[in-house]
Amino acid sequence: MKIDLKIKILLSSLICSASCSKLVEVELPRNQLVTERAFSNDETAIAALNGLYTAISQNITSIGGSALTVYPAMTADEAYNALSPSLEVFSNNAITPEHTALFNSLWNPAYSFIYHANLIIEEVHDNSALSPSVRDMLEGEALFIRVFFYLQLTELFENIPLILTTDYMDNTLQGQVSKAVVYEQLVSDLIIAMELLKEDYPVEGRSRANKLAVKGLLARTYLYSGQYEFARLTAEEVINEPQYTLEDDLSVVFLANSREVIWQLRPVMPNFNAPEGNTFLPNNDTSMPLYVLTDALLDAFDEGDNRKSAWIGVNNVNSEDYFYPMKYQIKLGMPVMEYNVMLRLAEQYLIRAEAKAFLGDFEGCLNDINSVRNRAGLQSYTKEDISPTVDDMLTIVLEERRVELFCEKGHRWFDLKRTGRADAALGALKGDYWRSTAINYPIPASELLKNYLLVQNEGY
Amino acid sequence: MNDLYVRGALCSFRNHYKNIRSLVLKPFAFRRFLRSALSTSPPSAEMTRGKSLASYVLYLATIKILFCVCLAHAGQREQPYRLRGTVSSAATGVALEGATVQIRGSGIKVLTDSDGAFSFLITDRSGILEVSYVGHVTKEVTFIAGQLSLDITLVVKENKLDEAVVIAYGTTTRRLNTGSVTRITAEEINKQPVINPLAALQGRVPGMVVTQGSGVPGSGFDVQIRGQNSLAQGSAPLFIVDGVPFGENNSAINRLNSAAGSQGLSPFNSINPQDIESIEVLKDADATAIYGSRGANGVVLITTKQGVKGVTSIDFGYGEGLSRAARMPKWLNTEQYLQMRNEAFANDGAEKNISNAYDLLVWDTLKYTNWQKQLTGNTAHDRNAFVAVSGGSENTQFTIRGSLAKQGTVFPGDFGYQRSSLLTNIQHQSSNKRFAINLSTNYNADVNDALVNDLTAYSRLPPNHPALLDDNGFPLWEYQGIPISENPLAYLQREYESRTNNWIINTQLSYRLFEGLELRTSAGFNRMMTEELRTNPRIAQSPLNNPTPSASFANSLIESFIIEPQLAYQYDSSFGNINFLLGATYQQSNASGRTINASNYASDAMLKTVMGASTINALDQYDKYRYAAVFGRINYNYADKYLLNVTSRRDGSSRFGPGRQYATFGAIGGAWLFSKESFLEQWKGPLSFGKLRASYGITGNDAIGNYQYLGTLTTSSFPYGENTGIYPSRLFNPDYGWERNRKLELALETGFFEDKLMFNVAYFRNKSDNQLIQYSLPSQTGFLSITRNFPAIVMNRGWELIAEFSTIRSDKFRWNTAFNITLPRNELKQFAELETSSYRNRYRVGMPLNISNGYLVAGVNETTGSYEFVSSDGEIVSTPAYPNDLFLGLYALDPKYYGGLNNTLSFGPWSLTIFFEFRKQMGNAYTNSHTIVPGMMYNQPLRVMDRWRAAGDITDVQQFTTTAQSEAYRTYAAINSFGGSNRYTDASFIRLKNVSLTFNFPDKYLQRVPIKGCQLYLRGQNLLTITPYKYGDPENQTILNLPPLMQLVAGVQINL
Repeated sequence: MKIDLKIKILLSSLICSASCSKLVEVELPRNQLVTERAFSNDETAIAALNGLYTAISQNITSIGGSALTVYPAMTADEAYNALSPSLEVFSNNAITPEHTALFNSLWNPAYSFIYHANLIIEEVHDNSALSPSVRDMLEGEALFIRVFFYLQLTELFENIPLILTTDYMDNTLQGQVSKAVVYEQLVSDLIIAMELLKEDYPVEGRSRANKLAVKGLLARTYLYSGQYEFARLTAEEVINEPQYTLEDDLSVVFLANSREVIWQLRPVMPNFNAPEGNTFLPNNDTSMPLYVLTDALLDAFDEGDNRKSAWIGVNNVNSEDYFYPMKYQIKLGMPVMEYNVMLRLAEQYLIRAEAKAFLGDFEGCLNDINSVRNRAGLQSYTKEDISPTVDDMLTIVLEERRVELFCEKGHRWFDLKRTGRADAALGALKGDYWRSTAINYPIPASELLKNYLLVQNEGY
Repeated sequence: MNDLYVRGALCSFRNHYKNIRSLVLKPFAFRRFLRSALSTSPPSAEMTRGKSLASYVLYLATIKILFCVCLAHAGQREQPYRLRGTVSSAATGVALEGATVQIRGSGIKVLTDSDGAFSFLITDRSGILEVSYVGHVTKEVTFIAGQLSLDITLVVKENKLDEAVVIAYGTTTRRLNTGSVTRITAEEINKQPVINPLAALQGRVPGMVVTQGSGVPGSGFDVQIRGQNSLAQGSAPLFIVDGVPFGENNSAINRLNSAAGSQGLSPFNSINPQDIESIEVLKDADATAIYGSRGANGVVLITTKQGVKGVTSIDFGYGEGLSRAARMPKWLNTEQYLQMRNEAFANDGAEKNISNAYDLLVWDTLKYTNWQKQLTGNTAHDRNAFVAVSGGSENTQFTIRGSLAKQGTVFPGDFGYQRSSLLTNIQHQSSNKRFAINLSTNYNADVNDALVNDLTAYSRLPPNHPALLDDNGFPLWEYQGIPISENPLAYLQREYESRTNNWIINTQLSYRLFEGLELRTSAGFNRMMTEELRTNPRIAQSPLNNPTPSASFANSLIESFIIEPQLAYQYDSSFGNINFLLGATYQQSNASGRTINASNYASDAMLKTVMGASTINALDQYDKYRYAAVFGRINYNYADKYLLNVTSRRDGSSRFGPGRQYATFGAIGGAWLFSKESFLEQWKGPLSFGKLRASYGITGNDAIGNYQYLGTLTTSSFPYGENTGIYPSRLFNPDYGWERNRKLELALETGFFEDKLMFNVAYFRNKSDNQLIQYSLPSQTGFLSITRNFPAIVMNRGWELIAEFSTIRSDKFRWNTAFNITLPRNELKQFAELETSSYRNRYRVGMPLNISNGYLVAGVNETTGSYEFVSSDGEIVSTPAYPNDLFLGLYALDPKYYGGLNNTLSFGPWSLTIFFEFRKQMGNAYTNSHTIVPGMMYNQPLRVMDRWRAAGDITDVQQFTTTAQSEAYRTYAAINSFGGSNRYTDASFIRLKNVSLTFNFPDKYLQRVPIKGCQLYLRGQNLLTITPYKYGDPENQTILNLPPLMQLVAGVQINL
């Protein structure tokens, strides 16, 4: 027995001393990189940023793709889903917190992109292993992307957790912050990003963010947060930039090489063009479109507005006409001609117009609107059209935004929300279905379950 | 000669020792002791085997005393003579080596040699020999001087207590086992016409719950031993097939989804149940601690068949059967469906339009199709055949078994599952018995031609749904301008095929260095290769979605090897027998796989090759696991009466971060066979066997998957433009270690009336702490979960009872009954900061883990017709407040008790087995799987017709509704998202799990044909279920997946 114990001790010490940990050491999986190693050189660090763009672009039905367009289009007054009864709740503004789209298409992908951006920001900041130009570029673009999604999140959900690090222990117990706090952060992030990025696009095409994309987003952020002077100035810098012009031909605005585009996402999945084209275009000219435009939207177009004919399609089903958005004209197919346009120049004109309206420059306001109207084949507004109040001018701007930016990245919904005009516009249209509290989407139920600090929005 | 003398002396010394011991207990025996000491005959038994050095030394030490004692009385003896004989098995005629032959009253005993021979030098002119052998009935034979030879045959003892039971690194018997082990024999398995050996365990093992999630051939089984130990990690036991760990975590082998559903394809399809000799389920610490980190959830040892020495025999069999889906819910017919829809619109005051009511406005409202019948109503054909050859000589035995099994499906179309298997086993022993080798090779190839979708879910199509196929059999996707979004008959064109090849090879070598000391090595290898194909042809897709054909291809390869050198030492002494075992394990597994998604095929015809695709996207997977350990066991047995077993293992696993890889586990177990105590002799009555045993120990759980401690980035599936991307795939977390499970067991095992009635009761209490969980994170962190240790304690305790009756044991008629029942209790004992964690709405301290949570539904309001709820203040409210009105633990969903009842009757050539499985449990009602609001455009089970219709109606089903604004819809949606008490129902059942009727042709019919045996059988599985569970099956508790099938097989087996 004693001998045996000795053998046992000998054997276990043999196994567990010299090669103890070696025995159970395994090499890394071939398809994965450990975080520190990924950020130890320029190439893989850049790959981490590309991976972020890919992730956004790949999730075609998420907040970086069609979700940002279709759900707000339904909750506003632009379109309804003709084929999925489960989406009726969006058109009726009766979304329940457990609706899977909230979490799967909006909340979760956004925070996943934000984590990815946070990881890049944390890892490249002061990272001496990277060359300074790459470091700046990565941090700037990651900041820009983070701002983009926070902006959408706070517009959709109002108060949201503002996560700026990758520490999960800490982030698990973050409650919401107010929209004002979010905006404060976004403005300061964008100002940093603006300094980090160059005016040239990092790669050919406009599929990654440059300094002007940051400015474009900053102009929007200023406008949304009511800093009109800054909004006007920033938008102006973008408008004055010669590489951007409004395309005269409406059918090329959403093409990959459009000169109007400030930032667009390059489709990554084979055969796929822009997500909206894939979602909105009906299968053939006799089938029912998935999303049908409301009469309210159709009626908003002035007589002779070329946008109505160029950007709206119609199918006749059971001898009824069904209109659908046709800004993008390719459902599927190669070669890829249409990218997912995230920021474009027309919006900058309208941002400046709105800022000017608030600043009292009514004439300047109309000039900017006219730039957009003329392109659509409409007559200019003249001085006689000027209304004496800011509110009336705002109405003109918003009407123009409505037809220029319809079914595009939630603009209409956000406009109604931030100007406080939702009750009037939607109450009239949707009658009893409309509730003022519906202006904020509910925080997804699954998140409330997991984080006790989250507070559900009113009305849910 | 000296040696012979020593042996004899030792025998008598042992006897003396025993007598001396009994002196202490019984002073009155003193006289008997003296007499026996004086009458000790000169020791002279034949010595046929070498002695170990140690024993030899001991013998020399004792000899001096004995020599004197013996010599002192030698002079009084008569002339000695030699008595010879042989001992063999009555059944097979094979010589029995190691049988004990003892002269009654003298204390002289010898062991038979390899030819079964024995001889004594004795002086008594006549007497009685007691001949005993493990597993055989002890026989008494009288002898008289002058007899030339005694040929003694022993019959096999029909006592389950002495059957061999496989345990970790060895065997024991039920009688001498210190641990908790349940054995399922080949006989029990063979009677069940199942494809998956896990199915054969259902209801038979106390403490073990085996649940079938789907009736689709090849789909998996959930296995849990003594409850859920881990909050989120694997609760699946460790499976070991012929010494090789297999089917890790019982996890699915498929990478592509198919009709097999969420549980996926079971790895155990690659084990043919008919090839199994026995399955042992190891439960307590004593039995499992030697498996260290992998033993926390119990261990299942599967041992395949081996050859036996004797005449070469050839067996073959063929069986054919039918199976069909039983216990399907009844759905509304068109009339009822239209009534529901119209009523829903009327209730809501909503207007029907082409978008929300095309089923009423556009579709033919006179049409009726029973989709359930059409999609799942077929009868499947099953078939099996096998041929087995086995036999062997004294030193070498072999068996070769080949088999084929085929299972059809109840879905329309030509799908099915097919398996062929080949098992070979060779054992050899050198003539001097020092060297032995056992090689087993188990090869399985299966092909699962399945569907991509489980069509059961499409029973929900409205009964007036337009035809799905046109007159030429082509799928339709539109009906008068209204798209058909789901077309299950088109999905039949989607093909799923998996091909699995599995090898399990194991070699066991042993060499006896000298008496008592044996060097063994077990080396095993498992290689499982799965190839999958899934197609999505254009014809099976709605043109509305993605009109290009696509296909997915996947392959995965799991290769693992294990080597376990062991040193076993047996030391027999007068102070008892001690067995030492010392061993080491080194195991490595590589799992790799690739999934290729190919799309944009030009046509459906090219789908089965990746080359036809214009777009290809691939995904890699790569996992490596290394494991090293040393282990030891000391087993002490004193006179088969007092048993002590100590085991320990030190483990290292690559699954943990640096510095956290190693841990030590161990257990101590003991047993007291009190029925052998002489002081019980006079008042033990009918008690023939009594054992008390207890064990306590610590085991671990590392079932968390590989590389979980690393923060990693993974290559994106697609490049961004020309540039490859990587994305964060895991959070960094090196600080986690083993999950511990402390197991305690106390058991009483008894036999009465010569063990005809056996009654065992065991109490267990397992506490699992340092919980390794996928801690669920709010998605704001960027991830949904992270693996970490958590200071939570989960306790499983319970009672297991077994009763076995061999009521009648006559030659013509036999009747055996076996009953087992388990009363488990699972409890979350402790959970740090539960109230602020992401689990706060899932668990509650003091309750089981598996509980239902949600709103407490008070019923249907008589006036409004909608559900109303009990709020946290006990008020009745129409809208429950979240989260205040959530109730945790509405019901405990684990079984309250479960078990099985087996009856085997044989009458002449007939034999009938009837096995019932039962479970008492609450379960998910159908509404927890089919969550569509009644009134919407989906069919519903008939139950919804009990709905509220007008004020004053008293019912528990609320009114129909179809618009999201209605109160009824909102209450339903609230229950859908947070759960509701009305979603659970009594899912207890008593299931006639297995019936087997066999007829063995009596020998007299077989005399004229060259057949040794012929058997006809009829076997059924899941034939009848008695349950209060109304809609669907109480086992899988969903109406969207195919329930376990009812099966009937008839066949023949012939032995040549």
